[in-house]
Amino acid sequence: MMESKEVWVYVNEERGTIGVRSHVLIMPLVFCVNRVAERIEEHFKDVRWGEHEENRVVAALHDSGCCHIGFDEEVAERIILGVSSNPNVFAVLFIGLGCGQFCTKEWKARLYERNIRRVEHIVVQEEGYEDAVERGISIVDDWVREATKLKRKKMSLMQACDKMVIGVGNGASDASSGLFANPALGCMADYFLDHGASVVFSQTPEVLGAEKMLFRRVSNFEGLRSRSIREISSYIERYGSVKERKLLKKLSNIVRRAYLFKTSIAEEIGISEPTPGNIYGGLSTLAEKSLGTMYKIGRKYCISDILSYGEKIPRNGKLYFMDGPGQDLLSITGMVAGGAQLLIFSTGLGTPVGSIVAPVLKVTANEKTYKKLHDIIDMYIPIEELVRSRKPVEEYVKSELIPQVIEVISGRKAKSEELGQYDFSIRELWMKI
Amino acid sequence: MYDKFVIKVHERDNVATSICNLDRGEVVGIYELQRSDFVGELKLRTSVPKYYKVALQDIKAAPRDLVERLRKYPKDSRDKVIAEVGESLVIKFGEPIGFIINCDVRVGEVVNLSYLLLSDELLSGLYEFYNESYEAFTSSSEEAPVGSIGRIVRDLKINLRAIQLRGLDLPILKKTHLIVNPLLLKVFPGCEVIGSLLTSLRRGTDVIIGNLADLDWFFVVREKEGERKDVVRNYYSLLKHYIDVSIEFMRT
Repeated sequence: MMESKEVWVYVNEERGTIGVRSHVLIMPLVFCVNRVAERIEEHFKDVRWGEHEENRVVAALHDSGCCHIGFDEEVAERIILGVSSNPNVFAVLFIGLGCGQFCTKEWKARLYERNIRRVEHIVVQEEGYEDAVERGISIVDDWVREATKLKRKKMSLMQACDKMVIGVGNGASDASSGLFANPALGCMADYFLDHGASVVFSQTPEVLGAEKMLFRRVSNFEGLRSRSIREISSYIERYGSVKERKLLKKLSNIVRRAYLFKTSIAEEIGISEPTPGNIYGGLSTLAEKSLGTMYKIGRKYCISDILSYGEKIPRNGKLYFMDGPGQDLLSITGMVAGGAQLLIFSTGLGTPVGSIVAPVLKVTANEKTYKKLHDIIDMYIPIEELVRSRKPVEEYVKSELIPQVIEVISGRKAKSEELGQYDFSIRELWMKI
Repeated sequence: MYDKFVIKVHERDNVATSICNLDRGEVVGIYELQRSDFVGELKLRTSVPKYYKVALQDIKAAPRDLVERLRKYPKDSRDKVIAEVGESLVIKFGEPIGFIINCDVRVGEVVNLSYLLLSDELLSGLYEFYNESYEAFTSSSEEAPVGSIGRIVRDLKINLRAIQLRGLDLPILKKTHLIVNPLLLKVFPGCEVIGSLLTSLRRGTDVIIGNLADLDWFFVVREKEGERKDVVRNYYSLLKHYIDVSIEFMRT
């Protein structure tokens, strides 16, 4: 029996979505017009709305949108489209230069297809520079007036979770992450999955070394727990459902490709994983880092499917793995582009990273980090206190951390938002010469 | 109730993690997360820095010739490396995270990453120096922890940031043995080689000396038909060349 917790969220009847924020987004389609977007944002720099003043006009500045090759072009387009249609976005203004790869694409029509009506597209080479700024300000002004009238609606956590995607990730890990922070994240993931939310995790390089743990999550057969990778694979091949077999194949390919990629880079420029920061934080090997990381996905649910980077995440109360880079911001952006409305992030050494349209909550079990960086960390797990009282981390999460997450869903700002960390980045693999 | 403790995650683990700096000789509790309770105690044979691992059992080092062989002829899966190094495995989270090299580890000794497989000459010389020259000056009456490379390199301050390789190119690092740093030259006058590097390192990386090797250094994923490892390799090779040329250009 679930507790009857309540949350306050923005309901968008037209789209059938709920938002935990209601931002007006300005999306430059190429870096050349970043300043245009920035000037429009500056015009509204003191404007906030919502009970906690949690909503604002945000410009997604980036250095992409031109000279992309193949894969990079596809990914950039997917990210722009995905972030713009995140349920936390009230309205979106696209700004193109005119000659960039994405400047004249039919963004409005594409968002209309997703039932998003408050969309405008300005092309600077057609409008003129100053005119584009002025027109942008006028459009955004209208939206802001509309947005300030919006009110959050009360609903049960179960109802809200039904339409929510929560992302889990980790960055700047140390030994405390795998011992307490990631297991705490895992408890939260299980809790929200229990309530019907979809949960997504990403950061493919961080599963290398923990394939066994990952492969075991393809099927809920208990006997897989003590088996080797080969045994797990052959069991699923023989007895698994078609879906499980497909999933295992996909996972094996992703892991294999990640290894090939990692080793071929390492051969050339000697990348060492874990990072020096991880090593000084007590994480000696890749497997040690990855095994600790895997606790963030909880213990109860099997992986339902694997999504490509930035792909739309189904809202059906299941656990998803998004194949994406390990870098914090890129992984967050990928999940937000997939539709995640909220992200919970574990950190050991501390990171202020945030997201352009979604709150990013940080949890640490490192006392020094919390004391030093309490202005960027939302939640702290007191290891000594838990050990001395012999309290399992699950209990602490339910009594102390979940209520904080629920408050952020209902509008209280996460530390990343208080700091103004509305970060955004577009993934690029290849050099632009 | 213990004042200080180490955290063990899984019942199968043979290492635990300290959550504060611990000194040699201290007796600490072992708290197991799976049971949410203390499952025993441990007397530390070496100091253990915060968040570092400490052995809960004696763990044998993998024979030097086996490590050399694995380095030269990597396996094609992690499971095969695990099978080869069997009793030297370090288990955390209930799974192997690496294996012990350089010298055996005894219960209560620190377990720390090593990029180097130390030469036998240096290893024996290091103990000799430690026991005769260094240990004589320590006030502790504790038995000298022979076998603890972790403690020796910590006490002699030659671990972590001690040996810098700034300015050396990767191909040199990858193919040749390392030349000793000034501190080690004091300890071993005339010594030229301290060991073999077990993984390729970036320029400027600190070389860590310890007793734990990463399993990932000893296996390679073989390419299947259609996979384009060479594309990635060539791209980064080109990128490195491009950066080197740019740096050279800026210098001139």
